[in-house]
Amino acid sequence: MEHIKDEPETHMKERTFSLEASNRELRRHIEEQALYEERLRASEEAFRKLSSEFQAILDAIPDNLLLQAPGHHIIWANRGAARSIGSAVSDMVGKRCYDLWHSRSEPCENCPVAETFVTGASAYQEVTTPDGRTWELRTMPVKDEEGTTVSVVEVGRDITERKWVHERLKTSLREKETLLQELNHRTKNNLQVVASLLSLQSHSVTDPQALNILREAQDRIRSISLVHEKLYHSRDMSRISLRDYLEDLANSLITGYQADPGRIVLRLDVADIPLSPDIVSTCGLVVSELISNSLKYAFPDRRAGEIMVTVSTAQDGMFELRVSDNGIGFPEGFDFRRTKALGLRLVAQLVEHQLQGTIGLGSKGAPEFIIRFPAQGYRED
Amino acid sequence: MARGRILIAEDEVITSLDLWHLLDMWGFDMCRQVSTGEGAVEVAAQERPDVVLMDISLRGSRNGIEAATEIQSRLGIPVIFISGFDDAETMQRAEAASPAGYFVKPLDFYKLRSTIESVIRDKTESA
Repeated sequence: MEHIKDEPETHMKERTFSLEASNRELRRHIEEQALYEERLRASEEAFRKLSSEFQAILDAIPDNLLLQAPGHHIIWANRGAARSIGSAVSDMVGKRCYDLWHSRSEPCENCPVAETFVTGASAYQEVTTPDGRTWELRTMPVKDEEGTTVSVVEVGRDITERKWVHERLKTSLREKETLLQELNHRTKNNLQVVASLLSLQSHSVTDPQALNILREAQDRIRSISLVHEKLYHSRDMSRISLRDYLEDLANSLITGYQADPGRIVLRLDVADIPLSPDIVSTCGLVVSELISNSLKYAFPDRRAGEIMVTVSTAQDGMFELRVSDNGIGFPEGFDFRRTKALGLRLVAQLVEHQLQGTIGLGSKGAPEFIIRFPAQGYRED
Repeated sequence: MARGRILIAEDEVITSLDLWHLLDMWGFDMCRQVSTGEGAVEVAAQERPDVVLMDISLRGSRNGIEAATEIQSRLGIPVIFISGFDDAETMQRAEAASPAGYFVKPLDFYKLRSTIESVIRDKTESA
């Protein structure tokens, strides 16, 4: 009986215990749910913030950014893209890009988006819209897990101004090249006219000394003209190879002076030094005068011989130019500074005042002019 | 006896006169001077020079390259260009006329003379 009496109570206790356990479990579930919801809210908040930041970044880009589905339907666009056609982003979604930008009913030829859908690779194209603007279009595929291109990102940049500036620069460069070409042509023609005037004058002159003076003047014009020629053909308009220049100049002088080629031989040993046109021009005049001097006086009575021209860099940074010959030598008591001939006086003046260098005679037996001039410190205006 | 007959086509009178005097002095027979491309073709056809010295920039509607191309192809007369132009583009255009020489102004008369002599020599030998 006692057992019968206790049964409901026991049952009650068990039931109460079970309900309390369920209650605890439920409370735990509710607490977990609340925690999950809180985490979800925080996550959604973070996502919204991130999304809004990305949207702001993409909208701040002035280029047109589009995400296109197959069939050229616009899935997403940034404000730059909407601005370029005076539309709102919401009005663009679902429309076809070729309709919005090109007023066409079918895709454009060579469309990079279509190419990317086919190849699954990036593409590039320059296109002109009906309003005359030029666009640079770049595309990138968006692929699913199987590697199928599901959409294409298109970046369009308006390069109308850039193209215009580029064309203007090209035109300007062409104009400058033509101008330079014409200037070069004019200069050469004018130098030819001056040389021809002297040459014509010499046809009516019989005095050998006067003829010689006219001849020397023509040689000087040629030596200056050669600098101009070298400068025009030089890649760097501020530098000319002294070796190239002196080789051409000296060979031209030797050929011009000799009635019998090969009697007087030229030996050149010139370091390949790029120098300013001013220095090269002055060196040219100096070498021209000294070679002419040797050709005129060093080998009388059809003597054979050699003229040597060397240019080297000295240890102190100076350049050393030597012009010598193995002819009959200077006359007794020769002083090139006191000679009446213009040529050698001109040489001394050019070396000392224009090259800011020194000139002297060599000590060895053969007549030799030694000229030293600074590599640096030359007035380059 | 003259060493060959030469036609000068040059629109700078002083340069042309100087060349004429020098070549005459060196014993060449000279055609009358011309300063246009059309004149060069016309005189070359009439006077049949051995060599034509041709400037590229000439008066008239035809430049020296055009005139040289016709003189060379139609009359078979060798042409030597004498020009103030020494840019690659002009020289390449001139090359198409198959010239016997190209001299840049101011002219090296001695080299020009030896080229003229060599062109006339080759022409005589091949005749």
